[in-house]
Amino acid sequence: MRVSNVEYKKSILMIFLLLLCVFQMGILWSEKNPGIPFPFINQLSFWKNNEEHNIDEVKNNYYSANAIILSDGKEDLCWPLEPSHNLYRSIWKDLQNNYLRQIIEKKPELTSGEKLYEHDWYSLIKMKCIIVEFKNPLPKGAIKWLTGAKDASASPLKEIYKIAIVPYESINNTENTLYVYDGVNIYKYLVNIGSGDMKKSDYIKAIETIEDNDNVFPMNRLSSYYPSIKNPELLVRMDYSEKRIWDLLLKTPNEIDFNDENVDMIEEYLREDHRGSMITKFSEDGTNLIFSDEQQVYRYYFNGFFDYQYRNKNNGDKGLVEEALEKALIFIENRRKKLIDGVEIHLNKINEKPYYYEFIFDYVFEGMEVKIQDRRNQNVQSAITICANRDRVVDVKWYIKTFAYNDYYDFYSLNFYDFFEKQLIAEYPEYAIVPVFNDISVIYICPENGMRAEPYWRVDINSKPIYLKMRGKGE
Amino acid sequence: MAKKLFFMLLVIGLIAGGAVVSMATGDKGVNFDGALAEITLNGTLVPGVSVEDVQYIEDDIQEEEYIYKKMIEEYDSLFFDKNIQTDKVYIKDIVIKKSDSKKDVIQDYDLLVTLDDSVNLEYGDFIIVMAFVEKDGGYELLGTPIKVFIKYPKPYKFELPFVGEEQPNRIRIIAFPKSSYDQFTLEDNFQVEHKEVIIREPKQSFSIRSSLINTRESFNFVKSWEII
Repeated sequence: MRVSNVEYKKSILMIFLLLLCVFQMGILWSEKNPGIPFPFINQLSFWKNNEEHNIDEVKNNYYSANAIILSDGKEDLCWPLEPSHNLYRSIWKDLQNNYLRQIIEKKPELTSGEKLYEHDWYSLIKMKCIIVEFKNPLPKGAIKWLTGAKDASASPLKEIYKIAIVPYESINNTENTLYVYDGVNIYKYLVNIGSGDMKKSDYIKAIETIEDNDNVFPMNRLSSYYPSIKNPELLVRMDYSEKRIWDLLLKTPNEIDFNDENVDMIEEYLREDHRGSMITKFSEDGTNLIFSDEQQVYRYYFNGFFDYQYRNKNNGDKGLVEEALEKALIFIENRRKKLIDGVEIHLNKINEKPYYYEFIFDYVFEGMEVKIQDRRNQNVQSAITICANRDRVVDVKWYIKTFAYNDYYDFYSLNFYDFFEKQLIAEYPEYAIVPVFNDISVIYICPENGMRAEPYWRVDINSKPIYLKMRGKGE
Repeated sequence: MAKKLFFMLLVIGLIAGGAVVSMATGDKGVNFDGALAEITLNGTLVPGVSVEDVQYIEDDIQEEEYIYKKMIEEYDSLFFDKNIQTDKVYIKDIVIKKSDSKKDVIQDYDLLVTLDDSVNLEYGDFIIVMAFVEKDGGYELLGTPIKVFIKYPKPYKFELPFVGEEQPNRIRIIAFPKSSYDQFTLEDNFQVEHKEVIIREPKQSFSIRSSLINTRESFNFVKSWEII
């Protein structure tokens, strides 16, 4: 009896060891060939699900209106709101939490088309309304996922570019009238005002009293001064007030500072997953650190530039834009939450490619985009470009930086004539006679290898961008 | 001894060198932004403009005014002929709009023009734009004429004399190249445009709130003088 009891224990131990052996083999197999034939580790890794859960909580932080502008219907004055303004935040909250979702889920209202503003965007925005603009048109699928809309099949919209909120139209106080512009057509929507939203009377009051608000500086439509201007929506400042703008200090995060002793930390922070071993080495010229295996290559450069490439990026199904966007946001969120602080990252543009989607993001500091100027050809570009398909991120170009005020600020005139005569024509005399303005804005530019971002005028002129360093009062 | 002498000479030399640099700004002051500034004739500080420059600019303005006056006298039959029609186009998209800068002054207006694409100016040349308003049977020059040599010049600012729907401001705009001001011909180098601006009289609307405020202010004023 006693002997059989020992044998029984031995058998149990043997079975346990065998199971452990199979388990160990599975780990090794999965490390060597991730995901084939079944995602062994994924079944066990609970953190993956947590990440996906978290992205729903933070995905709203990755997109915002490029501009929210109030028009009181008088002449051509408009009042753009700063992102820090309470009214901006309230209007954007209504859109993000409620109105955008309804636009995606609902059918648009039928319009007679007899009124000019129902099919002419420029006529529409000259009325009393609040205009919300995205930097570039956003696809319906992306908005659907970002807002948590359930069904987008009823909507004829393909993209959303601009929205005009016209609170005067409907007499029903529980609904608001929106005109949605996709860049070609205008669609009318009646959306329900939620319990936590701004009331319709608040919208009307905001429009009616904006002229008396000393914290909001008016802008003029340039076409009202010069009717031959090609872009009738172009807004410029005609007053001579000045704005204080700080230079910014952009640094590589301390956690991933580029040096020999920090290799493990860099790998820990930047690698997509930590299954399997990778070859780790410095490049021959010592400018970047490489982690690679048969499927992917990570390069991290001394200036904070992070380059990830999946070797089979042109294989596989690209899927829906929202599936790829989710992968891209998870990739950013998993790194930024540990490394980057004090700056927002906003989706700027989505490009559809044959095998994947390209998502372009910008750093946005106090409402101003921060662009990077590369050293070789002086091109000014967005700081983050991520290519992804439905399964994974396949290519990343990302300048990983932390942001803070630098040691210097100045007061800058935003007046159109100061810009046009004293800067643009002074530096580009050829534009004195034939300028075709498409857009004028103020952004930060930081050299690729530099640490100081300074304010620049960005002008889309004659179909090409020009960047002019702003001249402060103290210069 | 030679060393001491050399050292003293060196110190004197350094002081002299330093003095030259520190005195280089002459009588200029430093404004609150730290920029070098000159005291102008009216006592204000203008960064980067010397007294001589101010004198020169004023002389220049006076000379220009004199030229404009002389031109108007010389060409008045051409400038103010009501039947005149011109084909030449130097400026286009003429807009006259109420000035944004002073919202309360209803007679302040801006004239905006765009340089026509066909205009090809030689270096140093420009288009002179003059605006006149019909008044007392004649024409009166409005504001200071502007020089146009870029596509989108600054507004031409002036004050219109007439208010009320029955008194329209009849404006005559004249444009010509500076290089041809002494050889005007209707066909070659002269553009005339007409515009009419009606300034509506502001409504004197009664407001209970503002009348109450006025009453309260009057009361406070009387009280401050201890009349009651």
